[in-house]
Amino acid sequence: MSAEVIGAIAFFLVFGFIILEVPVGVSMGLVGFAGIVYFLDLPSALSIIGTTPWEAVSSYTLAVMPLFVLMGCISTESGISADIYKGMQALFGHKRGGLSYATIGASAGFGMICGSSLATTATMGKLALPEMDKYGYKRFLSCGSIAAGGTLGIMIPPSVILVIYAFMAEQSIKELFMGAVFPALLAVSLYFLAVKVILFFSPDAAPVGKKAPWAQRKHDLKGLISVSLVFIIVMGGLYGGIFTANEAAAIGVLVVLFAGLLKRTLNLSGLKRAIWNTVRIAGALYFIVIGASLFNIFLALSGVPFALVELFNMLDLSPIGVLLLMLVIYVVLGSMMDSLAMLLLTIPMFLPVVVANGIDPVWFGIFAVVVVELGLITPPIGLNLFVIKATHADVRLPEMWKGVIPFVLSDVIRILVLLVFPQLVLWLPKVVL
Amino acid sequence: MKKLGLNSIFKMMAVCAGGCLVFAAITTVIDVSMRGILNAPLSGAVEMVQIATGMAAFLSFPFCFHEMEHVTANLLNPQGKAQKIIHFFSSTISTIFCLFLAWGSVLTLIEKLGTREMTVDLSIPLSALYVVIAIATVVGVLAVLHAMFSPPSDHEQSDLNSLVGEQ
Repeated sequence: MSAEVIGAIAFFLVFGFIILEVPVGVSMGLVGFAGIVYFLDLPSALSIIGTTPWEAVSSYTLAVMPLFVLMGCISTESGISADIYKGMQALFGHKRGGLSYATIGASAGFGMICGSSLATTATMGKLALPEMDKYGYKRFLSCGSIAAGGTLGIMIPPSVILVIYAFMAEQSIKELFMGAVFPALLAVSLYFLAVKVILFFSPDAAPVGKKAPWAQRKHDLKGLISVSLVFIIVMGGLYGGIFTANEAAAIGVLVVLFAGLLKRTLNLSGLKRAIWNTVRIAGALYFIVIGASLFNIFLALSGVPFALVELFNMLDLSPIGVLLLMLVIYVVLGSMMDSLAMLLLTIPMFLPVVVANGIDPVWFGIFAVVVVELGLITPPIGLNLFVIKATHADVRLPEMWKGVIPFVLSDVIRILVLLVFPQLVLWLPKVVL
Repeated sequence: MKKLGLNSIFKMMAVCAGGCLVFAAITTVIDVSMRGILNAPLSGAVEMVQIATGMAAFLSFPFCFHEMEHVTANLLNPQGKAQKIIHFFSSTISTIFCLFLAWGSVLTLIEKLGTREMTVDLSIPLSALYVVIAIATVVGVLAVLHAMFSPPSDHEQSDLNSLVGEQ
């Protein structure tokens, strides 16, 4: 059997399992294991499955992931997310659609301490939707803002998905975090623009808010101090070369812990809940890493990535053509399957093609995450929409689909901008590092 | 009684996983502080963090399987009988994978027991680490089988909180 056929069978098997609700890590791991047995033999495959998982999960690079997750969970328990939202409300609340701007801004702020989109969406959904309902915002605007804002969690450093990409692609976490800065700022600006466009066509979607007294605004703005401090210490230390990524994450845990204790919003049961949630999230992520590691070994044995490189060579596409083709594949897959699974499944196959076409792997990592962000809000599957639905059962999906369309379009614009101006990603890491 | 015993094992392992993560964070903070203040980094800190996070990953599996915390597509959203069939299929595939994982881990443990391999910095016998891995993967098989026949209740988190509270 040729490598292409084996690769296609493996890909469709994993895809089929995922559709049938088999855990992503299990799907990739079992197909990978079966593939290793096919190319080697059962004893060799058992030896690999006995050692590879430990090698994967005990990686020092990957140790940063649970630490950043812990930082985000402690922040949530400390009420820092609520403070960020109040602060953003103080900045934007008095404008027409101000709470939508505040939600996007707060999501970006929360993304600075939490690397997960689903956590950002869930947190902001709980905070922002009741508030926007209270002021008479139309559901399509409020849900669209929350879902789109939630995607910023995986783009704004520290990002769990970028850590996993760095591990898979053997790239520097620091470079990836730096590369994400301008695309993240672009995302926030374009989402703001999307809100403006929505309000231009539907002015009744959101009222003009009352301007709060200056004393209250000043008080609420203080809530932004703690998150800014965390970001400056963690990312400043990382970018300034004072800490490694792991150290930055551990210091971040300490800082949010102290912030919570100083504000008296974090107690022992809150801390236990934070650690507990971290175990749940990290356990699930680590299992995916194990599955992906086994699948990678199978791919390396099968020669599928090389076959794919040859296939792309035969198509004789320019690098932009290659990327556009990958974009189409990602959009199709992203509308059907989990974003992280999609990335882990495709990175080992796409990366050799990317490198062979002279495309920078750091740029590709950011590009892939932007596309994943698009997948998170693309109807009908868009996972962020389901997170909102899970926290607010009365929200209707068609309302949300309507609400996210302008944000989906702004993501498409961002992808095009990144394709035309790759320096937006590559400039900062080159200048600073 | 037997069910309660298994649940407690899954939860205790998850609590240990949490402890490992906290240990990794504390170790890193101490390492940074010692490097910054005394100009003497904590010896073996990198390996301690690697082992702690690796252990946390394995120790959390049984609970994640039992609680069905693992990332799934949730695309079909089946109801009634279809839900049961999908759940049974998903659990069966998970059981098969976990069995291979446990089998491989136990074989590796047996192999490591016959060697004197140690970790580079702290000289911890690898066999000791593989004992934990083998136990975690075998318990993982029990967890996925347990979940297959008795989906978890909605109150597991509060149960765990009470367990943690008793520590």
